[in-house]
Amino acid sequence: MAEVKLEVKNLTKRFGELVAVDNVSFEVREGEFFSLLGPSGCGKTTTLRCIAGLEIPDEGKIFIKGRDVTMLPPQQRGISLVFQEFAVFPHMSVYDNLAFGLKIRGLPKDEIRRKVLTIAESLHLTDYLGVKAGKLGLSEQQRTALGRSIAVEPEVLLLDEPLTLVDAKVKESMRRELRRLQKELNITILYVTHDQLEAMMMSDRIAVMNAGRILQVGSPMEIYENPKNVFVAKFIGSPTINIVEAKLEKEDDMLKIVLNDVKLDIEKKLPKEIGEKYAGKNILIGIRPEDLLIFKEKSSPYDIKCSVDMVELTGNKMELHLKLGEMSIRALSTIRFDIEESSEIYLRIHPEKTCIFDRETEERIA
Amino acid sequence: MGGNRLSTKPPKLVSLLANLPVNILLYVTLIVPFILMIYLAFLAWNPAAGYEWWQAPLAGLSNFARAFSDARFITALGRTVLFTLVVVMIEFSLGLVLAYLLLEEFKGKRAVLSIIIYPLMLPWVVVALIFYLLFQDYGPVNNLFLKALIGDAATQMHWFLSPTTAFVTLLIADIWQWTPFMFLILYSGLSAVSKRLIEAAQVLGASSRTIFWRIQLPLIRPLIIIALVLRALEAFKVFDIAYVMTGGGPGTSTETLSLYIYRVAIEYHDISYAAALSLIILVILVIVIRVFIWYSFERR
Amino acid sequence: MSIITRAIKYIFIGFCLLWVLIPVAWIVCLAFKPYPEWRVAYFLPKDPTLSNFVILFEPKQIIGMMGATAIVDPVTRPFINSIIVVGFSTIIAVFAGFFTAYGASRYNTPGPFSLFFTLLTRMLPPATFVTPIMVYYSNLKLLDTHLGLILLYAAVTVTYGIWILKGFIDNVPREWEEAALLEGATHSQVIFKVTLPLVKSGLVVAGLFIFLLNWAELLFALVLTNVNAVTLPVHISKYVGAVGQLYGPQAALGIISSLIPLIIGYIIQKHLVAAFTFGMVR
Repeated sequence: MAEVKLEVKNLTKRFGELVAVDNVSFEVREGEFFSLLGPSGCGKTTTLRCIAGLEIPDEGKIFIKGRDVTMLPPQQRGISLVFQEFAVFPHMSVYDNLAFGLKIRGLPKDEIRRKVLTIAESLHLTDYLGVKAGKLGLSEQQRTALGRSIAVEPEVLLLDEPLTLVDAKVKESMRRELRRLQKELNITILYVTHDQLEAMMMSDRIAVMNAGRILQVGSPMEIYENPKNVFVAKFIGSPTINIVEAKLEKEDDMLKIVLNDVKLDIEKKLPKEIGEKYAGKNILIGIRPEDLLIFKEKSSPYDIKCSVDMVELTGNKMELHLKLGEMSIRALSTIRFDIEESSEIYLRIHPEKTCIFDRETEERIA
Repeated sequence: MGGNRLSTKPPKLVSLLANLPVNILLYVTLIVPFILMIYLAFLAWNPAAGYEWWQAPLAGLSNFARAFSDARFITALGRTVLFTLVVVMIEFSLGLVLAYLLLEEFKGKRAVLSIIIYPLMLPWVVVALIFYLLFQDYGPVNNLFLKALIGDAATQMHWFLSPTTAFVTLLIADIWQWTPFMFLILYSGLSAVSKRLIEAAQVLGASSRTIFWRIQLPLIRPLIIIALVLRALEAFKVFDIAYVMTGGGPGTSTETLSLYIYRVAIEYHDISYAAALSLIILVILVIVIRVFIWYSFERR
Repeated sequence: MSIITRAIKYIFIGFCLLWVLIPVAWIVCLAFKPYPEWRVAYFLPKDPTLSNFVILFEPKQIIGMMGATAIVDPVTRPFINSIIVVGFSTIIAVFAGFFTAYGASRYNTPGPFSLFFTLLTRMLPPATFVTPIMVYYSNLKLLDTHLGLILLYAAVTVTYGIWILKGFIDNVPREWEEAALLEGATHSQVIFKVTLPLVKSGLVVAGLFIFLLNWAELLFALVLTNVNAVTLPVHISKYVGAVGQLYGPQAALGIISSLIPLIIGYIIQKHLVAAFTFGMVR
């Protein structure tokens, strides 16, 4: 079992009345790529800055490799931080940027040279070593910032939305490169982003945050398939999950979901207490667009009739905007077939692929 | 950003407004006299002689030749250059130290800042007046401060009677007034350095001193150059304090360049010689500035 | 930062504050000291008086009291002259500067020569071009006139108006002017109703700055004025050169002459930093 490199316990940070980080706890293991994912303002960057030492938390503790670093200045924590705005030193050459941290640590010149050259090579910066960092393009600047942080061999490498300002075309390749580099050098990474696709693609584990709190921690698959609440379900996955209101009814000791006039069996049985608690009540169900089956005609009693609002054809996929009574539903199909707008089609929902949420708390109940 | 420039021609009104007032001012008030000065320099004219300048005889290059063998002129020039160098160096160093110390927040910083820069607002003559009074034989410099250090012998110190000490009083007056200028420019430049860069350096392990010398200072290098040049140009013009505090004395030992030329023109009425001296200085300055611009910005 | 370093830092700052405040404190005290106390070694006057200030307005009093002196004029006229000359020249410099800056920012006017020449006026020592101006003014009967000084002061400081205002005008988006033009406004309306109001603080900054500079100007006034248009700095220099070592009145004069600049400086303070880095970095 890999050792725990970073442990955050009950971290709380307030700015006046605003609680930016609210009792956040998680741990990151050695060699792990761990992401803090959430919308703007959810507290992920503040959490990162507390871990880096650029902010002092009001409550809670931070441990790096078992050492309590909560009150230490950034220089003494054994971390490195890559900023969203790169913050390369524009007046210094790429070489000097990469060597900066090493020079401060007092390493001998030839060792510095060796390390810088190795890093430059793995980041494809060798041709730019003599260039002043301020003159570089955006992705080269970010690679320099990355290289500079890796050079000092931190216990944990922190990244604050590093690819937000990079050209869209290059983002994709940089993500892969970063992941590859991380695996190769076995770097422990804490990555902050608002882009769920990015987090899903690169991370070993993700912590989804909102309003200063962590809502769920798990591997990308776990979070995708078993979201703990509506927020997480909606935040992960594109196109967004469909959340519709329905009723839970008890019929012959089996629970069914009633959607408009159609009754669906829940084949997975709900635990008895939950079943009792919610029988006859309104609940929320979540179903992902890609889990909806589309039929032109009704072929089973469970098929629901919807009208087609709009059809979006994107290469190999078809995204359908449907209307079920007053509710909007989206469906995704990889099979292309002829559908006209304003026509009617039938949806089939697989009960075991649904998530059931409490209507008030929006927490998952099944 | 080079403004929001259009490549189209400006409309008549704009052209008129943008050009006319400024051109009237310049041509009427300055350019004509400048041209006149060139002519005057080649004359042998003294208004006391009774006739107008256009009736005065040409004197060829004699005024210029005289300038090169005029010891008083050359010493004044050298003295002014020395003054400029010393004053700029000291003001820059003090300004830098002060800027470094005041970069971080602390209680009352705003008040400290306002107080520190107020000497800049006082007219030069008033500063000259202040230090004239301070350095009097029975003034506070002697009577209070020096007395505390060396006892009664302090009142024997006659600041304005010895060439070196008189020069020092001029230096002190200028430094007192203009260090805040350097401080202000350096301080605003340093504060403008992006916080991100500083955080990046901190995270990499740099101490505040390293950050100051390796990151903040190099980044404001262009600003430093501008500040030094501006201050040097102003310091070179020094007149007010020399005129008011020492009168160039004792003798001519604190006579600055501007003071000498002023004397030649106003007290000795030697207009053409003054014109010649002025021209020589103008030419020297233009050359120096041109070389400097080439050195700083155009090579490589 | 360790406690010791912090202490040293605060001590140093304290010294700087003293260094800056003591000279002025001395002068202020001196201004209220009566004649017998002019040469004392303590700060606060034991017997404060306003006589020094009174003398400034009625200098004839001092003859006989302290020996002969060369000053017979009260300070009122130089003070008023300064206000008139500096006031008008500032207004002219600011507006000429505004128009020129506008042309320079939006188009390419005026010619590079004019712009370079305006820079030159600040770079060269005034003493190096005052001689021909004296001759010139003498022939034009502009010596010792308000107009003569006003024109000269404006000509010599207009370059600051241009620098400062160009920075501010550059920040006004061209699109706003174009929008107004598209809606039928004439160019003059655009300049006066769109751009001008938006750079108001720039006008204030430039105006106050130029006012400070001209208020302090000595050399030109010394050469070009005599009796009518004598300005305050010239008057001050007369006091220092006078026989009799009139320390008290000198201090009082210093205070009176500094009041307006200090008030202006206080107002401009907040804009000062922005104005500097604006003008330079652009």
